[in-house]
Amino acid sequence: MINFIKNPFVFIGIIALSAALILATFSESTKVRVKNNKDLDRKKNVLLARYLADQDNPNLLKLANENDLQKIYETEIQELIFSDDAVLIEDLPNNLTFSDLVWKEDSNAGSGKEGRMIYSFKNDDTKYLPIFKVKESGGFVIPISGKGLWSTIKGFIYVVPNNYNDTNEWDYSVQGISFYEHGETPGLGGEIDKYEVQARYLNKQVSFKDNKTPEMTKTVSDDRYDLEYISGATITSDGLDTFIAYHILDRYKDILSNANKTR
Amino acid sequence: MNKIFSDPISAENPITKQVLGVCSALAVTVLVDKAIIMTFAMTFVLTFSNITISLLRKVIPHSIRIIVQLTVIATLVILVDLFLKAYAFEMSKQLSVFVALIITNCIVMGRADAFAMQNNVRDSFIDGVANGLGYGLILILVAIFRELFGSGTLLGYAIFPDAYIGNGLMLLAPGAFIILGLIIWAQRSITGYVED
Repeated sequence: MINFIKNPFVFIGIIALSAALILATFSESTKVRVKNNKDLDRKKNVLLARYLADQDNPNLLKLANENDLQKIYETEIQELIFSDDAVLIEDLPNNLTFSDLVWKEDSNAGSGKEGRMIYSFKNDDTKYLPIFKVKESGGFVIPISGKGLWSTIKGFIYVVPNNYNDTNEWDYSVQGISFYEHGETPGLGGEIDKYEVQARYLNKQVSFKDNKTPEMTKTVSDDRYDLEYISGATITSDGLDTFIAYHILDRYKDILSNANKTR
Repeated sequence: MNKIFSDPISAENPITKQVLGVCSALAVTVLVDKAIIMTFAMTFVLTFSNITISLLRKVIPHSIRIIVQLTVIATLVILVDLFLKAYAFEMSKQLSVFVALIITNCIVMGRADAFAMQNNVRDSFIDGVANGLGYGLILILVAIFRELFGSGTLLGYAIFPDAYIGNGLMLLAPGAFIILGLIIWAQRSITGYVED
């Protein structure tokens, strides 16, 4: 018997099998908790984007507490899901919920557009456009994601409608931004976590008429759209410009610009 | 037994004497709380990998011992990673890949192969704990300097007045290199250890 076990193939087989068993059991038993954590983290970051321009808001200090976070989120935010052609969806298929939505890389983006991120459900490639309506301001928190230098950056941008332009489209101003996942270099691209960098986005404009979103540049020439880039992180900065423009001007344009759909 | 415990913490410290595990010593020492969690994670992995390998040491076929050690270590690391994701989500986000990278930390495999393969379970257990703590001691020491001078805080509490402008060098890897080098220098000048 001992000799049988000591056969290298048998031995490593037993070890690998027991390891897999232990891990599968543990992973399965913590699954609900991990999902709940991710969900809370998402809610927290939606609120962080919403409060970026309002750093003295007492609610900011309460976000660390799970119950307070849930309460604040429910009073502040309304979750809406639109289909890819900007039709509001009332009932999601197969008992899926808002928190089942995941970021995926768009496999049909075409060449030169690799790394474009879309929201859909895990086992289904239908594209969805989730959006978080801020009840008080009528603004929207929009999920954004795309490539930086090393990693896929995920976050939220908060835009508030400020004027109804002559082409019958709403224009917006950025009132907040937050990032909850990235692997950029700490101290360089990783600075996107810092208030100092995020605050540069405040009051920058989104114009559907001019097809413009905030852009990080080395020299600020147009104060409405340009903001200072992150020094030492040109590629991260360029990545942010690209995917913020993609999500706002491309994916979410119909929802944001059309007053009837959202008001 | 005392020597098994005290050596890795002082004279035979895995970081300062053998200069192992330097990657994570540079990466997760920006803030003290990160360094503390990393110490726990590392000590857990080291201790249990030592125990498991020591238990199996008489049956592991010699030709595949490295593969077996790797499997055991990888399993433990994934367990820690899952545990942090479930019970300390914020921390797991901050430590990101560095928990997973414990797998490649030479200290863990070094102790498994050099110590646990030859010694009984009790000694291997002590060796695991001691090496984990020895590693953590240096990590926390480096982190104290980096957080204090880099951000002016300790464990998030402001130590220096608001007027203090954080030293950016301390937040980057070169700052960690310099401090780690100074610690190694200080320790070796006390113990008189000279590399052959």
